[in-house]
Amino acid sequence: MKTQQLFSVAALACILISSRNLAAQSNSKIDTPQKRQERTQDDLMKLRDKKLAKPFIKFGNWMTDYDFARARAKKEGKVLFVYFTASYFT
Amino acid sequence: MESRALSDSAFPAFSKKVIPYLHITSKVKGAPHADLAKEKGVHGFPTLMFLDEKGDPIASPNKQSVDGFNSIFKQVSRFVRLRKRVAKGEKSLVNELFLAELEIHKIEHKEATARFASLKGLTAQQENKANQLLINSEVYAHIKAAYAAFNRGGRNEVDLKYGKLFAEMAAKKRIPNEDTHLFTFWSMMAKYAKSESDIDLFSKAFNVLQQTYGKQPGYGRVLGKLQRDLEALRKAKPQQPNKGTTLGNNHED
Repeated sequence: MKTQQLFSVAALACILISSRNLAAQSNSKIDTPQKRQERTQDDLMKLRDKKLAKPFIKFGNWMTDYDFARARAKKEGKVLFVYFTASYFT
Repeated sequence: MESRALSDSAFPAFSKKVIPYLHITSKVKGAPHADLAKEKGVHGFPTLMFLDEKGDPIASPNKQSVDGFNSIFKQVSRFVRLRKRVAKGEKSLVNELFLAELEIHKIEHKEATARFASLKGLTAQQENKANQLLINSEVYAHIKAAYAAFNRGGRNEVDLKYGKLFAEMAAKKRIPNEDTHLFTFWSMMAKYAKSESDIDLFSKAFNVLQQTYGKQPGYGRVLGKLQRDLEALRKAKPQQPNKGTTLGNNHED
């Protein structure tokens, strides 16, 4: 009987620990204003580069140089179609 | 957006018609044109926008699909062509340019109303079109104001306030014909009608929403809720003529 109780307590402890770990893991994925403030320039550059590596950019032939894009628009008599996005938050 | 419209198999063909430019606000020091989004009046991410070659904003697509992009692109192209011709001295196109600007919401409703009053030589067709576009622009202005108010909180009060405004517009047969604003127009009105127990008005709003969006994916849950609300209203007031706002009684069914 005592062994069964011990097993039950141990199982409960395991569940509690794993659920706390899961909560901690999911919290680490939540982007908070505090986390954003703590980001270094290196972090911000990595996030920007990660965004620039996304497949939709090559797929849609997106340009990333504003002055060049404007010059092309003028030369070709086209309008710019701008996608404003951000990389500093996730 | 990135995994849907911008990755749609039809997107590359659309992007050849324009100059697609991606602007990432990164907060990386020294990034070129770091404040571009702010300068162009962007209020949140992601935002899509057509700019002219000088970088001046023209319009934003209000549908996040390649079909939606193509549809507004046609209107934007027409506006750009007309603007060039009017700038070169073709004064006869001033009225058409006004309509093109109104169509893409390039001008605010107040300014549009003032300019409309000063236009000369409008044909009957142009006048009819302008009247409908002014209704659209009024609804658009209300919806923008409602969304700004949502951000300050009190969503329910905002819904009721604008729902009442839209009910008053509908009673005067001032109904928008832009697909993108129809849903907000009628659904806010339904919320107002519910709060006033105005069964006629609620039925009217529900019927329009059902006819317009009933077969479209993604609207089932909302329409189902409205259907249940309508049944609850009818149960609460069986066979009683509405003596509340009566805004609904002015509608044609």
